[in-house]
Amino acid sequence: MKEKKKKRAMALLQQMGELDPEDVLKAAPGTTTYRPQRRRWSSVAVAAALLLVCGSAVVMVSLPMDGGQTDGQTSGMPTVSSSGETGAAGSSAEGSSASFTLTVQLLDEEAFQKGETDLTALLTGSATLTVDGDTGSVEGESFTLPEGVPLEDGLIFAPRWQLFIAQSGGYYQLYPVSPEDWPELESGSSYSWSEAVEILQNH
Amino acid sequence: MLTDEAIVALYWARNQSAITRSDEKYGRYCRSVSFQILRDRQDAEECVNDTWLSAWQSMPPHKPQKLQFFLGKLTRNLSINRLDRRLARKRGGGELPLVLSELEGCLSERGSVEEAVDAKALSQFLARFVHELPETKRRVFIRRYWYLSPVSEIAQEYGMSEAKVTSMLYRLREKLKAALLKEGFSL
Repeated sequence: MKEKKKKRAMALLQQMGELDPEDVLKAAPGTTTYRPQRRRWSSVAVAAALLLVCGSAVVMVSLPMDGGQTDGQTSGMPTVSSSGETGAAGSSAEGSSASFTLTVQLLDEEAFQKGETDLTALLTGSATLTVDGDTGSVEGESFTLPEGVPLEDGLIFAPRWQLFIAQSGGYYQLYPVSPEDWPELESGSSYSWSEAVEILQNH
Repeated sequence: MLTDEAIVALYWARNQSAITRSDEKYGRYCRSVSFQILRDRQDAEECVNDTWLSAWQSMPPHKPQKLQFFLGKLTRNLSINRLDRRLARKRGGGELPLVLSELEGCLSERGSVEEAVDAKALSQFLARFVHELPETKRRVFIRRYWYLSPVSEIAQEYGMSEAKVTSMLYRLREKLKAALLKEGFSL
């Protein structure tokens, strides 16, 4: 049985030798040099200046809307800003660069792949998310936190998909660590659970 | 350096400088392909020498359009076979056992393994499947299953965490498995 499995895998591996030549040559080792994305400091400076000017006005406007929320954000909850720093939502973008931990619930992707779609049944464990500026790490794996992800206990994390799921008002916001891997998804948009399931199933 | 056409013409003319010219132009690439798989300089060198012999025996009748790919493919196959033999002698199989275990579930079983799958149709399907993947996913997939690169190296080269590469490969294999099943490929 094991030998048969190995033969099938070997047959598949050998047939993969016949991939498109251009594709294979483009992917040759050493042909890709990863360059970390540089932060656009000019944009950050402009945004900071604007916020300094408008900061008090923003606070004035937001005060009467106590309890109001935007997609995926809860008032007072730390989020990752576009400048890559964590700070309280609604507070100024000077938000301090903080290091802290929170508990995330882990989504069992394998069970999902097998057809389980009940969220409660899918949340089978938890882990500590360490946040340092715009960097997060779970179980030793570090990544850049998605912009706008609400950092609070109970946040859901799918480790294989590298996807955060936040819950708010009966809706779910999906925040992929690498949005380019999820072109079908607008990071931070709200979905009902059935819509979210459909997105995840089609991914 | 000679053009590919000129090198292929040397093979067809049974001129032994074809091998020197091939080594001069693509020796480094072939050594890299072989080393990625075998992780042993000496074995890789021997494999590349076997590649030149194999190329000599294949041309004619073959007249490859992409000589680099043709030589790389010969090197890959020879290296995988060598690694498989090494594995059978329990001398360590590099990434091969891992890659094989990853691919084990992709092709469903159809009775006995002697029932040959339509190899040409399968390879055409695989080429199309991989070609239609988004750029990064395609490159990562090829690095793992064509070049047999370790996940750690792929992660480093593409600036991703190992977990991300692993999860990307897992999703791609699931997609491939579903597509193979849908197209009725089994072995």
